[in-house]
Amino acid sequence: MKMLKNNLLEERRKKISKDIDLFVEHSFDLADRIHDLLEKKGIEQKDLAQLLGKNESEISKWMTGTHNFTLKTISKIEAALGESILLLNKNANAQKHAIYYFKKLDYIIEPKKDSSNIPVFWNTLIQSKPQTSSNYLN
Amino acid sequence: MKSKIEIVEFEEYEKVYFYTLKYYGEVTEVDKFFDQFPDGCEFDEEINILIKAIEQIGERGAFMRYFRYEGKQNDNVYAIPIESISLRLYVIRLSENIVILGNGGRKTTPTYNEDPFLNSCVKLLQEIDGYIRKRLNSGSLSIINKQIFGNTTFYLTSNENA
Repeated sequence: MKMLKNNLLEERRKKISKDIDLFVEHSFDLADRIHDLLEKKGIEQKDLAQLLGKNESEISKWMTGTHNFTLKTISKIEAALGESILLLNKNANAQKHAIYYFKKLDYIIEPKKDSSNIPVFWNTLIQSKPQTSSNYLN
Repeated sequence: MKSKIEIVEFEEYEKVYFYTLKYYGEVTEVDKFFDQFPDGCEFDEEINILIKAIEQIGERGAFMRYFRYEGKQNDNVYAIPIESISLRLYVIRLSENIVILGNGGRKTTPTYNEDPFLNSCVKLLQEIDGYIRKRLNSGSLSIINKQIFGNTTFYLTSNENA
């Protein structure tokens, strides 16, 4: 069943740029993540304020879901709570490189000229060239 | 003179039903708010953020942390704030699933009480909130899941906001 929406607001929503859309979503995600961490650790907003040397009202502003967090603020909260807030998927990126080059391994004749972004281990393998032709990842 | 005002449906989301207030013969209170900031106005970006925030609250739930305390300690009057320009959209937060949107604007004074217009926006919501609580207690109004049922019309003795 279609949920009720206000026509005027819907018209305005159509014109909202993707970056604003993402900004608000990320900001709410961050507020929720911080809230979850505080709950997990049994810490209240006032305690976090104390840990960071801020007023409680400042922490409340962060939690509204529309705050424009700086990377510095996020890092300070991470340091105070000892937990990651931004979960950047570094491992997935390395894995992507690894699988890509592993798959290519059998077919590589010469190493790529620019292989600076390849993890060292894989780079070494590529340059040493494989001795077998088993195509086990295909 | 008594003014007739009623709670009307505004938007529905997965977790939250948004209502607003409407004086007889007028546009809704939340329409009055957005009319202050027409499309393409100076604060377009902030208004767009607010519109998206309503959406996010609707999809996640009207958790207390998303709102700013306004009004008095014993009422349900809050604001959805956009701090960068001190913008306030005043609301009655009845539960995690029901929010009644009111009017508001930019806060240019240290407290809302010092701004006659913002003060009138908050006072209206405080008055309606009081009536709602009385009717919920008496049973003439009820909340089922995320919707309000029953007598949603009120007659106010003063109409500072009109």
